[in-house]
Amino acid sequence: MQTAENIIQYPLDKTSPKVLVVDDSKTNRQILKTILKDHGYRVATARNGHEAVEAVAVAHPDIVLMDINMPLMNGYEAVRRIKQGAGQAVIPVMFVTSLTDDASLATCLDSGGDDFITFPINETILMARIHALLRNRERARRLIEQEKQLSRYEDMVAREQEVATSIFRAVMKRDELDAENIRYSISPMAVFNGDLLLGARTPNGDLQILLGDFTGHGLGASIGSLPTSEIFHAMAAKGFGIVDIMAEINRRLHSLMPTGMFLVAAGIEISARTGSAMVWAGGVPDILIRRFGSGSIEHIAARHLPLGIGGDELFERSFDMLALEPGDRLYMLTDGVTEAENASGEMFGIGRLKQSIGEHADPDGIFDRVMTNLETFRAGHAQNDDVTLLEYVCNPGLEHRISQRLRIGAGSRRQVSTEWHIDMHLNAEALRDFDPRPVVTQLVMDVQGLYNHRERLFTILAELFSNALDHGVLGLDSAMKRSSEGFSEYYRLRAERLAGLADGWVDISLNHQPSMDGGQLNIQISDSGAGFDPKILEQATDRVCHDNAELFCGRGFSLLRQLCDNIIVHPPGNLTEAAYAWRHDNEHANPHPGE
Amino acid sequence: MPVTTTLSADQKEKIISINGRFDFTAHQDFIKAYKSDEKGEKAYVVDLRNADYMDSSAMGMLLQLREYAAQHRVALKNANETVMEVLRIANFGKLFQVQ
Repeated sequence: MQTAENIIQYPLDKTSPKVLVVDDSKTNRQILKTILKDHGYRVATARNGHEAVEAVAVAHPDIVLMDINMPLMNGYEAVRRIKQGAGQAVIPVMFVTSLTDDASLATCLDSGGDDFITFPINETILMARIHALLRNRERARRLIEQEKQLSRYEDMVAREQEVATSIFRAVMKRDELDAENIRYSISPMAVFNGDLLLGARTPNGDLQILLGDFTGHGLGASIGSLPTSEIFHAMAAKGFGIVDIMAEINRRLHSLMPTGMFLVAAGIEISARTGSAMVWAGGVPDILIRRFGSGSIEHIAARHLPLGIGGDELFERSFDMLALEPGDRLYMLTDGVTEAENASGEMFGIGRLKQSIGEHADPDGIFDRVMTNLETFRAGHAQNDDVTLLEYVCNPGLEHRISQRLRIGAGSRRQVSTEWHIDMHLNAEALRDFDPRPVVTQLVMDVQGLYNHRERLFTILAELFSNALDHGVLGLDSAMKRSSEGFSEYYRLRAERLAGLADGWVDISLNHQPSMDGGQLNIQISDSGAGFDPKILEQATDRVCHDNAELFCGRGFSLLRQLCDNIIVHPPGNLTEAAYAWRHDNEHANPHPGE
Repeated sequence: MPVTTTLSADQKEKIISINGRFDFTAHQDFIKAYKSDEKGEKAYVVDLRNADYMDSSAMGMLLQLREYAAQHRVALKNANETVMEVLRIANFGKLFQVQ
């Protein structure tokens, strides 16, 4: 227990610093106490080292004035214990002693003392030293507090990032990219660098990929990926084309994001049936294609502005069409790849990338080679941007199997059969800006519960509509698509004619009749075109496409024949009727071969 | 100074010159260079002769300047090869006069 004296405090201002005076001489204690009180300090006293250690624990002084030679426990030992017990708290100690030999004074500092002063005491010097020690203590205390705050903040950021990462992971769906013919690299934290990679399949099995990079870093850069991903997946599931999806993302980002923030992005859509790729690219590094046979490398440069800079008035719908052959490889990347720096600040660049892709004898090793070369180039140099890279290998057989699996995997829904009719008239203006296929497919599915038939219906509509638009209204010749130059030219011409379309129309008429065990949907599509010779179609009654490929494959009739129960082209060839029958209890309404 | 400005003789056009890296470190100076003008008051020329690098935050700054200039033109001049490549990939020629 403390005696009355040694814990007596002299309460002045409660915020004024408190000094613990430790001395076995009552006179010395009194002298110091008087000086300190005169200067407005609160004072506590102790008579030896032992009492001092206890007083520190009880009275929490801001500074200790310590004598050396005392009974029970001397000053050196007391200081050792006080400093040891203080932990993170800073308690400066000044020795006040009549010893003046160097060894004693050195021991003062060795034992943990911060300063010393010798008798006789000069009041001014004593107060100056105390002030200095208290100032240091305040600085140290603040530093420790800031460190604590920083570490609390770091913990908080880490926890928030954990939560955000799990949310982003749930939203950034790309299961469709986990396929044998696709490889990609994106760091799990990439979303905080603004990188974005999404993959989905449309109802008819086409693969859609979006790879992008928001400006900036941190949460600000990643937040826009939430609406982007939602739009991408929702529209892909409804069968919208990649250009429509990019347009919608642009519209949304423009309304959400402040000026100066944008998304550089490429969207591609790879047809499960033909293997062709439609590319819309805004502000991204070149997309590279390595041809299987020759190993030669082609580029597709981004034609467009990044997304989110302007509204619809700045969005351009033009795209590149790319014919892919089996074994061709397509590479999409963010500038984290091309701008990866080595120790001397040099960038990896598109040249080194092309070399990495081109040189390799074993094509299946290219992806790993690129990643290794990149790693070697950087050689431990701090990563200033995340590397996001995707490789797609054209493999029509695999694409076909995947789209088949999609069809079988689609859940069954309650199917109700009713009678209904829809007519739609699309004039030149509507044809320029509007893709009716997803809307009509959605309508049919919603009205009729034909969910399990959506891929087939979408494909039928897509084929009929593109025949009507491309060949009927726009007068394009499908034979052009047979060569790869013609293929590109076809789509260039298509975009040009569509943009300049002043006249022309397409009518779509849907008629549904219930039957005993399901129903029959009749689709009628007519167009303003001159038509074509339907005899070509009649020659193809054997349903074998290949024999007559030259004659009609370009118009997709062999596919339509496989999907539909009946298909009739009325003279002069600008009116096509297709009949599609379905049954309640069977996911495969249509047991035709070739599926 | 990373950013310096000069005015055309008729006071209608401000030339903003960038020196060194054109990235987020230039942000405060770049904004200061045009915020002293009224919004929509002047046309701007961003002289990139001495800019040796440009990143996406700089592109964001240019978009903000474009918004500030409103109906007036914003021209980007004298970009070196590296900077030009960045402008080309982003297709900024559709928004700015790139000279």
